[in-house]
Amino acid sequence: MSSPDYFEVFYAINPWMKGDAPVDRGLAMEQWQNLKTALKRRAGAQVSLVKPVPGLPDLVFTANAAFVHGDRAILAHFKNAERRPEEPHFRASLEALGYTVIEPPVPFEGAGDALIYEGRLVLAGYRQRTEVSAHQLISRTFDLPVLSLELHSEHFYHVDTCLCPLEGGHLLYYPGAFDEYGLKVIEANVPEEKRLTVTGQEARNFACNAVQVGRCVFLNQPSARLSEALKRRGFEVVGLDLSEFLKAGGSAKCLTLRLN
Amino acid sequence: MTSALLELHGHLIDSLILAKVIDRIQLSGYNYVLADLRVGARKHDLSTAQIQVWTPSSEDLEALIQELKVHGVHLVANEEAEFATVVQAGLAPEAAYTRHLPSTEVLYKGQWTEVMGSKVQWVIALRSAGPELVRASELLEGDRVLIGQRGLRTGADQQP
Repeated sequence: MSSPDYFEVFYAINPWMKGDAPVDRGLAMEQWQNLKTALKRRAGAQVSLVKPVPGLPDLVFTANAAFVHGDRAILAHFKNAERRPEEPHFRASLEALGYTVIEPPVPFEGAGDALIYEGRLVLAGYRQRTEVSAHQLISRTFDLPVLSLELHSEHFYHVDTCLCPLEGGHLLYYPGAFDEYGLKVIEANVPEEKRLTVTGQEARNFACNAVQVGRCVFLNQPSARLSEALKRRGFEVVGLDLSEFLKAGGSAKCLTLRLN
Repeated sequence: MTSALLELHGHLIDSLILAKVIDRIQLSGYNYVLADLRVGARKHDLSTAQIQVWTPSSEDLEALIQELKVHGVHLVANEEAEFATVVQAGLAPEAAYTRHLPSTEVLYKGQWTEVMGSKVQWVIALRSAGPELVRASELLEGDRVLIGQRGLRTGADQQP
């Protein structure tokens, strides 16, 4: 994770950033601390930190730093010039943690666009931020099959804004973010009883931008319906207020990068 | 009429990307042929497909390529054509690009009669004036013959 010391919205690279409400940095810091504390206390997670850097407001969204698997990491190569200066900082942090870092030759936004399902398959997004050819690098590097899912909505610009693999083969996702092909791919690979869809309203509240550690699922202010559905599947739901980060188009998952 | 060879590489089958690309071409109403498809042997191997497509104009072709680019489609036709040397007179090299005329018969004196020479196999060989259509049977040892479809554009009469 990376503390939101310099978090603000001063450029707009996704539709969420075009809102009028300014970021309350004090509140953002409190919300981020709450997430970090909850991850540690509720799920026993260990948290490593990337040092915040002035002028890099989105460094707080560490999910985009890289796709990490085993002892290697494919570093992000951001599509938008505004975020490219983050790359050397993420590289240095990953190397300091002992990862071998691989640079992709094309735009690729890390774990924002590549999620491991059941440890055996990568569900990867393309079109908005990541180029589909980056998925080949994931396959080649990790010898894992990849399912490439086109993201056709600017609001759901990373696959982790509309899809979240959970333990036990469960999959939380928003069907409205995918086309008919993407939905068929999901349906062909995830059994019906394991699929948990969210509504448009829940998706816009970043329900799919959730983090799972152990049986705990951390997410922004879940609806009663979704909380119930997750509980029925045996998960412990940890609802948090991450509203300041929603103004930049991110939530719990975007604020974290799973290292192992 | 313009034609081009398009190529895409990646997770084409399980991700339904090839199906999507072909559907887009069909929806545009263009003719196409799946010229080559190499499917990865294992689930995580990559696949490669080549699609020959015909559009009414080069602008249509450019628009189609632009639309499909996001799925990893690129034009192969800008690459130089490849030629292989004939090692035995009258025998086209393996993978030579060959053409036959459509089966042609003429109703002559009440009978459909096959036109002599309509079964000729044509290849493209490099001659002093440039690439030239040559009967495969008339190839000479040392002739350079076009192989594959790289660097090749064909007109409307060659449509499937």
